[in-house]
Amino acid sequence: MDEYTDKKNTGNDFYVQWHFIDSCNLRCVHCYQNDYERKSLDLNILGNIFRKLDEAMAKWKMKCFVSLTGGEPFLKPEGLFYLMDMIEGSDNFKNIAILTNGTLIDNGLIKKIKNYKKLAEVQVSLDGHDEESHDCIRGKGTFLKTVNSIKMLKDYGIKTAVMFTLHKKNIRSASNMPELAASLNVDALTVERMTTMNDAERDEFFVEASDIKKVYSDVYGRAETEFKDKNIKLSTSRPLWNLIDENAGGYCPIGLSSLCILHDGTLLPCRRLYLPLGNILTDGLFKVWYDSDILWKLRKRNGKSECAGCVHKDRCGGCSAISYYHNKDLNSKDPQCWI
Amino acid sequence: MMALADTVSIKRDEDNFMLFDNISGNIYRLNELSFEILSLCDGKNTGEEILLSITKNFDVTITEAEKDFKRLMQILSEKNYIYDNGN
Repeated sequence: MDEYTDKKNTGNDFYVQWHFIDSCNLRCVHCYQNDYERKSLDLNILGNIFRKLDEAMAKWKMKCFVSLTGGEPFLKPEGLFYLMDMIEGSDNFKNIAILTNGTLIDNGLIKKIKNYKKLAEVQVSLDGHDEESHDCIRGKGTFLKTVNSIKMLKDYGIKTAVMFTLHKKNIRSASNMPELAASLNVDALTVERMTTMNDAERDEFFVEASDIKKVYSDVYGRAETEFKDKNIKLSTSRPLWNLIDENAGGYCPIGLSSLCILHDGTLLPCRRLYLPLGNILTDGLFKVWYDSDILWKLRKRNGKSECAGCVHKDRCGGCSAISYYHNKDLNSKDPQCWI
Repeated sequence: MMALADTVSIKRDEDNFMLFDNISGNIYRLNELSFEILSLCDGKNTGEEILLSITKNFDVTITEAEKDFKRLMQILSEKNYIYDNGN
Protein backbone atom coordinates (compact mmCIF):
# COMPACT_ATOMS: atom_id res chain seq x y z
CA MET A 1 0.00 0.00 0.00
CA ASP A 2 1.91 3.04 -1.27
CA GLU A 3 1.21 6.58 -0.15
CA TYR A 4 1.71 9.18 -2.81
CA THR A 5 -0.24 12.26 -1.71
CA ASP A 6 2.69 14.56 -0.92
CA LYS A 7 4.56 13.98 -4.16
CA LYS A 8 1.39 14.61 -6.11
CA ASN A 9 0.15 17.84 -4.57
CA THR A 10 3.02 19.88 -3.18
CA GLY A 11 3.10 23.36 -4.63
CA ASN A 12 0.08 22.89 -6.89
CA ASP A 13 -2.75 25.38 -7.00
CA PHE A 14 -6.34 24.61 -6.16
CA TYR A 15 -9.04 26.96 -7.41
CA VAL A 16 -12.14 27.72 -5.35
CA GLN A 17 -15.01 29.91 -6.45
CA TRP A 18 -16.70 30.87 -3.21
CA HIS A 19 -20.20 32.33 -3.46
CA PHE A 20 -20.16 33.54 0.15
CA ILE A 21 -23.40 35.50 -0.30
CA ASP A 22 -26.40 34.66 -2.46
CA SER A 23 -28.12 38.03 -2.22
CA CYS A 24 -27.79 40.43 -5.12
CA ASN A 25 -28.86 43.97 -5.91
CA LEU A 26 -29.43 43.15 -9.59
CA ARG A 27 -31.75 40.77 -11.41
CA CYS A 28 -29.86 39.97 -14.59
CA VAL A 29 -31.93 38.20 -17.23
CA HIS A 30 -29.50 35.30 -17.62
CA CYS A 31 -28.56 34.76 -13.97
CA TYR A 32 -28.28 31.15 -12.73
CA GLN A 33 -29.03 32.24 -9.18
CA ASN A 34 -32.57 31.38 -8.06
CA ASP A 35 -32.58 32.64 -4.52
CA TYR A 36 -31.08 36.10 -4.39
CA GLU A 37 -33.31 37.97 -1.99
CA ARG A 38 -31.42 40.03 0.56
CA LYS A 39 -30.56 37.97 3.60
CA SER A 40 -28.28 38.44 6.55
CA LEU A 41 -24.82 36.97 6.41
CA ASP A 42 -23.74 34.39 8.99
CA LEU A 43 -20.09 35.15 9.70
CA ASN A 44 -19.81 32.06 11.93
CA ILE A 45 -20.69 29.81 9.01
CA LEU A 46 -18.25 31.66 6.75
CA GLY A 47 -15.53 31.36 9.38
CA ASN A 48 -16.13 27.64 9.73
CA ILE A 49 -16.05 27.15 5.97
CA PHE A 50 -12.78 29.06 5.80
CA ARG A 51 -11.20 26.92 8.53
CA LYS A 52 -12.25 23.69 6.79
CA LEU A 53 -10.81 24.92 3.52
CA ASP A 54 -7.64 26.24 5.11
CA GLU A 55 -7.08 22.96 6.92
CA ALA A 56 -7.62 20.92 3.76
CA MET A 57 -5.15 23.04 1.76
CA ALA A 58 -2.56 22.69 4.56
CA LYS A 59 -2.93 18.90 4.60
CA TRP A 60 -2.81 18.69 0.84
CA LYS A 61 0.16 21.09 0.76
CA MET A 62 -1.62 23.01 -1.96
CA LYS A 63 -2.08 26.76 -2.41
CA CYS A 64 -5.62 27.99 -2.85
CA PHE A 65 -6.58 30.65 -5.40
CA VAL A 66 -9.99 31.83 -4.29
CA SER A 67 -12.51 33.94 -6.15
CA LEU A 68 -14.93 35.62 -3.77
CA THR A 69 -18.31 36.30 -5.27
CA GLY A 70 -22.05 36.05 -4.78
CA GLY A 71 -24.71 37.17 -5.41
CA GLU A 72 -22.95 40.48 -5.21
CA PRO A 73 -19.97 40.48 -2.84
CA PHE A 74 -20.01 44.25 -2.28
CA LEU A 75 -23.59 44.04 -1.05
CA LYS A 76 -22.18 42.88 2.28
CA PRO A 77 -18.65 44.31 2.42
CA GLU A 78 -18.33 43.20 6.05
CA GLY A 79 -18.51 39.59 4.87
CA LEU A 80 -16.07 40.18 2.05
CA PHE A 81 -13.50 41.82 4.31
CA TYR A 82 -14.01 39.22 7.03
CA LEU A 83 -13.00 36.54 4.54
CA MET A 84 -10.23 38.58 2.95
CA ASP A 85 -8.66 39.19 6.37
CA MET A 86 -8.55 35.46 7.11
CA ILE A 87 -7.30 34.57 3.64
CA GLU A 88 -4.62 37.26 3.77
CA GLY A 89 -3.34 35.78 7.00
CA SER A 90 -3.10 32.19 5.81
CA ASP A 91 -0.08 30.65 4.09
CA ASN A 92 -2.41 28.18 2.42
CA PHE A 93 -4.00 30.81 0.22
CA LYS A 94 -2.10 32.26 -2.69
CA ASN A 95 -4.39 34.84 -4.28
CA ILE A 96 -7.83 36.39 -4.10
CA ALA A 97 -10.02 37.59 -6.92
CA ILE A 98 -13.32 39.39 -6.44
CA LEU A 99 -16.06 38.79 -8.99
CA THR A 100 -18.59 41.62 -8.97
CA ASN A 101 -21.24 43.38 -11.00
CA GLY A 102 -19.42 46.63 -10.22
CA THR A 103 -22.46 48.68 -9.29
CA LEU A 104 -21.77 49.09 -5.56
CA ILE A 105 -18.09 49.96 -5.57
CA ASP A 106 -16.98 53.32 -4.23
CA ASN A 107 -13.70 55.01 -3.37
CA GLY A 108 -13.84 53.88 0.24
CA LEU A 109 -14.23 50.23 -0.71
CA ILE A 110 -11.48 50.43 -3.31
CA LYS A 111 -9.05 52.00 -0.84
CA LYS A 112 -9.80 49.16 1.53
CA ILE A 113 -9.40 46.28 -0.95
CA LYS A 114 -6.18 47.81 -2.24
CA ASN A 115 -4.58 47.05 1.13
CA TYR A 116 -4.76 43.32 0.56
CA LYS A 117 -1.48 41.99 -0.83
CA LYS A 118 -3.14 38.81 -2.07
CA LEU A 119 -5.73 40.61 -4.17
CA ALA A 120 -4.84 39.52 -7.69
CA GLU A 121 -7.76 40.88 -9.63
CA VAL A 122 -11.23 42.35 -9.55
CA GLN A 123 -13.40 40.88 -12.30
CA VAL A 124 -16.32 43.05 -13.32
CA SER A 125 -19.22 41.86 -15.45
CA LEU A 126 -20.13 43.81 -18.56
CA ASP A 127 -22.67 42.07 -20.75
CA GLY A 128 -22.95 44.66 -23.49
CA HIS A 129 -20.64 47.05 -25.27
CA ASP A 130 -22.82 50.09 -24.62
CA GLU A 131 -25.46 51.38 -22.24
CA GLU A 132 -28.39 50.02 -24.20
CA SER A 133 -27.08 46.49 -24.72
CA HIS A 134 -25.78 46.10 -21.15
CA ASP A 135 -28.73 47.70 -19.37
CA CYS A 136 -31.32 45.53 -21.09
CA ILE A 137 -29.60 42.53 -19.46
CA ARG A 138 -28.52 43.93 -16.09
CA GLY A 139 -30.96 46.77 -15.48
CA LYS A 140 -31.31 50.47 -16.19
CA GLY A 141 -28.37 52.59 -15.17
CA THR A 142 -26.02 49.69 -14.52
CA PHE A 143 -23.69 50.25 -17.48
CA LEU A 144 -22.60 53.71 -16.39
CA LYS A 145 -22.18 52.63 -12.76
CA THR A 146 -20.12 49.60 -13.76
CA VAL A 147 -17.92 51.49 -16.21
CA ASN A 148 -17.35 54.15 -13.58
CA SER A 149 -16.27 51.47 -11.09
CA ILE A 150 -13.86 49.98 -13.61
CA LYS A 151 -12.30 53.39 -14.13
CA MET A 152 -11.95 53.91 -10.38
CA LEU A 153 -10.38 50.48 -9.90
CA LYS A 154 -7.88 51.21 -12.67
CA ASP A 155 -7.14 54.67 -11.23
CA TYR A 156 -6.21 52.98 -7.96
CA GLY A 157 -3.91 50.60 -9.80
CA ILE A 158 -6.00 47.49 -9.17
CA LYS A 159 -5.77 44.77 -11.79
CA THR A 160 -9.21 44.73 -13.37
CA ALA A 161 -10.77 42.26 -15.78
CA VAL A 162 -14.00 42.43 -17.73
CA MET A 163 -16.22 39.36 -17.93
CA PHE A 164 -18.71 39.12 -20.78
CA THR A 165 -21.24 36.30 -20.51
CA LEU A 166 -22.25 35.42 -24.04
CA HIS A 167 -25.80 34.40 -24.98
CA LYS A 168 -28.38 34.99 -27.67
CA LYS A 169 -29.48 38.37 -26.27
CA ASN A 170 -26.05 40.00 -26.39
CA ILE A 171 -24.37 38.13 -29.23
CA ARG A 172 -24.19 41.29 -31.34
CA SER A 173 -22.21 43.05 -28.63
CA ALA A 174 -19.53 40.39 -28.32
CA SER A 175 -17.21 41.48 -31.10
CA ASN A 176 -17.32 45.07 -29.79
CA MET A 177 -16.10 44.05 -26.35
CA PRO A 178 -12.37 44.21 -27.21
CA GLU A 179 -12.82 47.84 -28.25
CA LEU A 180 -14.60 48.65 -24.99
CA ALA A 181 -11.96 46.76 -22.97
CA ALA A 182 -9.23 48.70 -24.76
CA SER A 183 -10.95 52.05 -24.15
CA LEU A 184 -11.22 51.24 -20.45
CA ASN A 185 -7.63 50.01 -20.45
CA VAL A 186 -8.52 46.97 -18.35
CA ASP A 187 -6.03 44.18 -17.83
CA ALA A 188 -8.05 41.33 -19.28
CA LEU A 189 -11.22 40.47 -21.13
CA THR A 190 -13.00 37.15 -20.81
CA VAL A 191 -15.76 36.14 -23.20
CA GLU A 192 -17.45 33.03 -21.88
CA ARG A 193 -20.61 31.22 -22.84
CA MET A 194 -23.69 31.20 -20.63
CA THR A 195 -24.70 27.75 -19.41
CA THR A 196 -28.35 27.26 -20.24
CA MET A 197 -29.74 24.98 -17.55
CA ASN A 198 -33.21 24.06 -18.80
CA ASP A 199 -35.37 24.05 -21.93
CA ALA A 200 -36.78 27.52 -21.32
CA GLU A 201 -33.31 29.01 -20.93
CA ARG A 202 -32.11 27.11 -23.97
CA ASP A 203 -34.90 28.56 -26.09
CA GLU A 204 -34.19 32.04 -24.86
CA PHE A 205 -30.40 32.16 -24.63
CA PHE A 206 -28.64 29.25 -26.37
CA VAL A 207 -26.22 30.17 -29.13
CA GLU A 208 -25.67 27.58 -31.85
CA ALA A 209 -22.20 26.18 -32.46
CA SER A 210 -21.74 27.88 -35.83
CA ASP A 211 -22.52 31.26 -34.23
CA ILE A 212 -20.11 30.57 -31.37
CA LYS A 213 -17.40 29.91 -33.95
CA LYS A 214 -18.09 33.23 -35.64
CA VAL A 215 -18.20 35.17 -32.38
CA TYR A 216 -15.00 33.62 -31.04
CA SER A 217 -13.22 34.28 -34.35
CA ASP A 218 -14.43 37.89 -34.44
CA VAL A 219 -13.54 38.56 -30.81
CA TYR A 220 -10.10 36.98 -31.27
CA GLY A 221 -9.40 39.04 -34.37
CA ARG A 222 -10.68 42.28 -32.89
CA ALA A 223 -8.67 41.68 -29.70
CA GLU A 224 -5.49 41.25 -31.73
CA THR A 225 -6.07 44.67 -33.27
CA GLU A 226 -7.41 46.51 -30.24
CA PHE A 227 -4.96 45.08 -27.71
CA LYS A 228 -1.89 45.61 -29.89
CA ASP A 229 0.69 47.66 -27.99
CA LYS A 230 -1.53 47.51 -24.92
CA ASN A 231 -1.09 45.35 -21.89
CA ILE A 232 -4.51 43.72 -22.19
CA LYS A 233 -5.02 40.00 -22.33
CA LEU A 234 -7.87 38.15 -23.98
CA SER A 235 -8.49 35.26 -21.56
CA THR A 236 -8.74 32.21 -23.73
CA SER A 237 -8.13 29.51 -21.15
CA ARG A 238 -11.66 28.17 -21.33
CA PRO A 239 -12.92 25.30 -23.50
CA LEU A 240 -13.35 25.81 -27.27
CA TRP A 241 -10.95 28.76 -27.54
CA ASN A 242 -8.29 26.28 -28.59
CA LEU A 243 -10.31 25.71 -31.76
CA ILE A 244 -9.58 29.32 -32.73
CA ASP A 245 -5.93 29.26 -31.72
CA GLU A 246 -4.30 25.92 -31.02
CA ASN A 247 -2.08 27.57 -28.41
CA ALA A 248 -5.07 28.95 -26.52
CA GLY A 249 -7.73 27.24 -24.49
CA GLY A 250 -7.34 24.65 -21.87
CA TYR A 251 -8.83 21.73 -20.16
CA CYS A 252 -11.44 22.90 -17.67
CA PRO A 253 -10.10 22.11 -14.17
CA ILE A 254 -13.51 20.91 -13.01
CA GLY A 255 -13.10 17.76 -10.92
CA LEU A 256 -9.32 18.00 -11.13
CA SER A 257 -8.22 21.09 -9.24
CA SER A 258 -11.26 23.25 -8.60
CA LEU A 259 -14.49 23.41 -6.62
CA CYS A 260 -17.32 25.79 -5.98
CA ILE A 261 -18.54 26.56 -2.44
CA LEU A 262 -21.89 28.19 -1.76
CA HIS A 263 -22.66 30.47 1.19
CA ASP A 264 -23.93 27.59 3.33
CA GLY A 265 -21.01 25.26 2.61
CA THR A 266 -22.66 23.30 -0.20
CA LEU A 267 -20.04 22.03 -2.63
CA LEU A 268 -20.61 22.00 -6.39
CA PRO A 269 -18.23 20.91 -9.16
CA CYS A 270 -18.81 24.35 -10.71
CA ARG A 271 -21.36 27.10 -10.08
CA ARG A 272 -22.81 26.47 -13.51
CA LEU A 273 -23.23 22.76 -12.81
CA TYR A 274 -25.77 22.54 -10.02
CA LEU A 275 -25.05 19.02 -8.81
CA PRO A 276 -24.53 19.29 -5.03
CA LEU A 277 -21.68 16.99 -3.97
CA GLY A 278 -21.99 17.43 -0.22
CA ASN A 279 -21.26 20.10 2.35
CA ILE A 280 -17.79 21.13 3.47
CA LEU A 281 -19.06 21.78 7.01
CA THR A 282 -20.60 18.37 7.57
CA ASP A 283 -18.71 16.11 5.16
CA GLY A 284 -15.35 17.85 4.99
CA LEU A 285 -13.64 18.56 1.71
CA PHE A 286 -11.68 15.32 1.37
CA LYS A 287 -14.65 12.98 1.68
CA VAL A 288 -16.48 14.83 -1.07
CA TRP A 289 -13.41 15.17 -3.27
CA TYR A 290 -12.47 11.50 -3.05
CA ASP A 291 -15.86 9.88 -2.81
CA SER A 292 -18.09 11.73 -5.23
CA ASP A 293 -19.11 9.66 -8.25
CA ILE A 294 -19.88 12.89 -10.09
CA LEU A 295 -16.33 14.12 -9.65
CA TRP A 296 -14.92 10.74 -10.73
CA LYS A 297 -17.03 10.90 -13.83
CA LEU A 298 -15.77 14.41 -14.59
CA ARG A 299 -12.19 13.20 -14.21
CA LYS A 300 -12.52 10.74 -17.07
CA ARG A 301 -10.65 12.67 -19.73
CA ASN A 302 -11.43 10.15 -22.42
CA GLY A 303 -15.09 9.95 -21.53
CA LYS A 304 -16.35 11.91 -24.53
CA SER A 305 -16.52 9.12 -27.08
CA GLU A 306 -17.82 11.44 -29.80
CA CYS A 307 -14.56 13.37 -29.47
CA ALA A 308 -12.31 10.29 -29.60
CA GLY A 309 -11.12 10.98 -33.14
CA CYS A 310 -10.81 14.77 -32.79
CA VAL A 311 -7.31 16.19 -33.28
CA HIS A 312 -7.99 18.71 -30.50
CA LYS A 313 -9.03 16.18 -27.87
CA ASP A 314 -5.87 16.44 -25.77
CA ARG A 315 -6.24 20.20 -25.36
CA CYS A 316 -10.01 20.52 -25.23
CA GLY A 317 -12.66 18.70 -23.26
CA GLY A 318 -15.51 21.10 -23.76
CA CYS A 319 -17.71 22.46 -21.00
CA SER A 320 -19.15 19.59 -18.95
CA ALA A 321 -21.88 21.83 -17.51
CA ILE A 322 -23.19 22.79 -20.93
CA SER A 323 -22.96 19.14 -22.06
CA TYR A 324 -24.83 17.99 -18.98
CA TYR A 325 -27.74 20.39 -19.33
CA HIS A 326 -27.96 19.93 -23.06
CA ASN A 327 -27.44 16.17 -23.38
CA LYS A 328 -28.08 14.95 -19.80
CA ASP A 329 -24.58 13.49 -19.93
CA LEU A 330 -21.48 15.05 -18.33
CA ASN A 331 -19.19 13.27 -20.72
CA SER A 332 -20.97 13.98 -23.98
CA LYS A 333 -19.67 16.33 -26.63
CA ASP A 334 -19.99 20.04 -25.90
CA PRO A 335 -23.10 21.06 -27.91
CA GLN A 336 -21.48 24.35 -28.87
CA CYS A 337 -18.39 22.73 -30.36
CA TRP A 338 -18.37 23.40 -34.11
CA ILE A 339 -15.97 20.63 -35.08
CA MET B 1 -16.29 -8.89 11.48
CA MET B 2 -14.04 -6.33 9.85
CA ALA B 3 -15.45 -3.05 8.60
CA LEU B 4 -13.88 -0.01 6.96
CA ALA B 5 -13.89 3.10 9.11
CA ASP B 6 -16.24 5.91 8.08
CA THR B 7 -13.22 8.15 7.67
CA VAL B 8 -11.85 6.28 4.66
CA SER B 9 -13.10 5.59 1.15
CA ILE B 10 -11.91 3.10 -1.42
CA LYS B 11 -12.26 3.69 -5.13
CA ARG B 12 -11.61 1.83 -8.33
CA ASP B 13 -10.95 4.00 -11.36
CA GLU B 14 -10.30 1.82 -14.40
CA ASP B 15 -7.09 -0.04 -13.45
CA ASN B 16 -6.28 2.13 -10.45
CA PHE B 17 -7.24 1.08 -6.96
CA MET B 18 -7.09 3.64 -4.20
CA LEU B 19 -7.78 4.17 -0.53
CA PHE B 20 -8.47 7.71 0.66
CA ASP B 21 -8.08 9.02 4.19
CA ASN B 22 -10.86 11.59 4.35
CA ILE B 23 -9.40 13.18 7.48
CA SER B 24 -5.74 13.65 6.54
CA GLY B 25 -6.29 13.81 2.78
CA ASN B 26 -3.70 11.06 2.25
CA ILE B 27 -4.07 8.77 -0.74
CA TYR B 28 -2.83 5.19 -0.88
CA ARG B 29 -2.47 3.05 -3.95
CA LEU B 30 -3.80 -0.49 -3.55
CA ASN B 31 -3.38 -3.56 -5.67
CA GLU B 32 -6.47 -5.24 -7.02
CA LEU B 33 -6.42 -8.04 -4.47
CA SER B 34 -6.24 -5.60 -1.53
CA PHE B 35 -9.04 -3.54 -3.06
CA GLU B 36 -11.20 -6.63 -3.38
CA ILE B 37 -10.53 -7.62 0.21
CA LEU B 38 -11.46 -4.15 1.46
CA SER B 39 -14.59 -4.08 -0.67
CA LEU B 40 -15.71 -7.17 1.20
CA CYS B 41 -14.91 -5.67 4.61
CA ASP B 42 -18.44 -4.35 5.06
CA GLY B 43 -19.02 -5.55 8.62
CA LYS B 44 -21.20 -8.40 7.34
CA ASN B 45 -18.78 -10.82 5.69
CA THR B 46 -16.75 -13.13 7.90
CA GLY B 47 -13.01 -13.53 7.35
CA GLU B 48 -13.66 -16.98 5.96
CA GLU B 49 -16.21 -15.67 3.47
CA ILE B 50 -13.79 -12.98 2.31
CA LEU B 51 -11.00 -15.52 1.83
CA LEU B 52 -13.31 -17.85 -0.05
CA SER B 53 -14.37 -15.09 -2.40
CA ILE B 54 -10.76 -14.07 -2.98
CA THR B 55 -9.56 -17.58 -3.83
CA LYS B 56 -12.52 -17.96 -6.16
CA ASN B 57 -11.85 -14.76 -8.11
CA PHE B 58 -8.05 -14.51 -7.99
CA ASP B 59 -5.31 -16.94 -8.84
CA VAL B 60 -4.14 -17.39 -5.24
CA THR B 61 -4.09 -20.29 -2.82
CA ILE B 62 -5.95 -20.09 0.47
CA THR B 63 -2.60 -19.84 2.28
CA GLU B 64 -1.47 -16.89 0.15
CA ALA B 65 -4.82 -15.17 0.46
CA GLU B 66 -4.82 -15.63 4.24
CA LYS B 67 -1.33 -14.16 4.47
CA ASP B 68 -2.27 -11.10 2.37
CA PHE B 69 -5.51 -10.66 4.29
CA LYS B 70 -3.82 -10.73 7.70
CA ARG B 71 -1.04 -8.36 6.59
CA LEU B 72 -3.52 -5.89 5.13
CA MET B 73 -5.73 -6.01 8.23
CA GLN B 74 -2.70 -5.35 10.43
CA ILE B 75 -1.53 -2.33 8.43
CA LEU B 76 -5.00 -0.81 8.24
CA SER B 77 -5.83 -1.51 11.89
CA GLU B 78 -2.69 0.36 12.95
CA LYS B 79 -3.92 3.39 11.02
CA ASN B 80 -7.47 2.97 12.39
CA TYR B 81 -8.75 2.54 8.87
CA ILE B 82 -10.43 -0.74 9.70
CA TYR B 83 -11.99 -2.13 12.84
CA ASP B 84 -13.68 -5.22 14.23
CA ASN B 85 -17.36 -4.37 14.71
CA GLY B 86 -17.78 -7.15 17.25
CA ASN B 87 -20.32 -9.16 15.26
